[in-house]
Amino acid sequence: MLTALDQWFATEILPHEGVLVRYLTRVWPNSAEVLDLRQDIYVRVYESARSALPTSPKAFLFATARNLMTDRIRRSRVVFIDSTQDFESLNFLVDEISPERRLSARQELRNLARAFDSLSEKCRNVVWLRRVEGLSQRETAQRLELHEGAVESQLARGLRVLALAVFGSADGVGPSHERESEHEYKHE
Amino acid sequence: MNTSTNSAEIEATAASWFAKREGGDWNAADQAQLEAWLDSSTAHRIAFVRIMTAWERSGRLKALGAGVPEGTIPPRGAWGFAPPSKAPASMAPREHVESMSGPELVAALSEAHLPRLGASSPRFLRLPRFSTRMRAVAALLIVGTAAGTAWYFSTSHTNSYRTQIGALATVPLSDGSKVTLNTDSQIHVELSPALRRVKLDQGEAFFEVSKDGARPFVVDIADKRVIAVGTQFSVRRENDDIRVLVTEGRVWIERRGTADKAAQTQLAAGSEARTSRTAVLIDRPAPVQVEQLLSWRTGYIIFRDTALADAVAEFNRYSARKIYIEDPAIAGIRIGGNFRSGDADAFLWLLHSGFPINVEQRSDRILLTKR
Repeated sequence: MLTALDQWFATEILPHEGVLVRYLTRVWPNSAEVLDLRQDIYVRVYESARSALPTSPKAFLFATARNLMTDRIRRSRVVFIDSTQDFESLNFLVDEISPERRLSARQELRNLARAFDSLSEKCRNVVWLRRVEGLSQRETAQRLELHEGAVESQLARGLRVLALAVFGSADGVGPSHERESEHEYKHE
Repeated sequence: MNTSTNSAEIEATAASWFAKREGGDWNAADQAQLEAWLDSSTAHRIAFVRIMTAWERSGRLKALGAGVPEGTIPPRGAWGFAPPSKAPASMAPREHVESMSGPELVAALSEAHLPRLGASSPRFLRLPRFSTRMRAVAALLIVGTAAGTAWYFSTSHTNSYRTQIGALATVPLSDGSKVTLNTDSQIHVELSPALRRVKLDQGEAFFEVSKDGARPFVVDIADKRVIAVGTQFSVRRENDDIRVLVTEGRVWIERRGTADKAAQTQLAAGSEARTSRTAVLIDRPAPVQVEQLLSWRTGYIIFRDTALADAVAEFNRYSARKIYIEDPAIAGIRIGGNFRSGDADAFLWLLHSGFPINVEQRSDRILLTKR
């Protein structure tokens, strides 16, 4: 059910999420808005890609990020003392501070394992049975003596945490469970 | 509305949709509702794509399950990874790790943190390296035959077959068809009056299907299905994607669960299809390539102008003792030749004598460096 554009987005844009989010956290004054910014940047990139795919997806992603932040600062009535800087001047920082690192299979597994271990007991059990052992939702519910609805919601919850490990933590800093809900992107 | 909760909410909704879709009781009304949600906003669609991709990628977690008895959920931190601050500097380059399968990967990562293995589950069987092909063939395991003594009278029964690393086996089926299994492969065969169904869990198989127009022969691989009536074709599974090569007759490839006939791909003799998630790429390889692709059935691997990295990956499918290229500078060297798939020594000797390559033999692995 994924379209070609969805596929493109998944393979060309999402792998840069970790670098993008660390960049946003660094330059944007309000870290509570980072998740929201990320979403808007993704939407812009996706919509532009509808008409033509950018030749350099990563550069395009960061150019979009800078434009969007500039637009927001201009429209904003609040003046942030920190953010008077020109985002263009931060251009070079992107690659320098966070060189793109394709995760090795081993690093990716380690990040996943860490995120997996950060899940609550119930959620962790559900993810193990569903994803590792490949049990159906019904079988998982029976094994853990849960309602099927609970298995479903725990899986959804676990997936959000695993998604951060897959896309968002190239430096190996997995999201901890406690921080999951509010401060997803405050990496140390 | 607080916009930052908005994006978090969208993500939560996307994850719920995805979990619901994976849950089992999914019907056309649900699908229509999901599609409406996806179409109503690009942000929705992106959030869903992101979660779906995360689910696919999280399949790597299965490597943690290798060596763990079924039904046992290991304690936290049982994986033997170094703490984040002290990640070992000497990590194997990516392509090397990728070529390892689950058990070896975990074995390489963790020392003794996994629970002791019970002898009861076939997942743990790891035989020593085989010295001869005959022993390898003998190592074909019939994992289980269901329905016991009543099979003769039952309308349907399932047999499972599995080959160890380095093994090759031919399995005659009761309908007259024949399946040849390559190294480290596993199938389940279910023959019923209406359908002949083979599930390919892993690895590669060549099918010689006896003609029976009333009873299609299907091979299921993850969410994909290859359908044949009377034909010859091979299927190689790589994660959830497949490579299908047809040598005689024709087959159809479809995504399971779709009634849409337009979504079927027809593949004629001499064609090869590769899937990538939802896309299918069709190629007509030259006869020499076909021979190369199917040479495994005779116990040979054929390389023609093949990059060393690819050749090593191919050899590693057949041996528990993996070969690693320690120096990227030699990964691109082109090589050619015919090798017995179980005879890595001949391959290594040739590399050493014909190329500027050092071969370092260790007890658990073989390292290739530039000389």
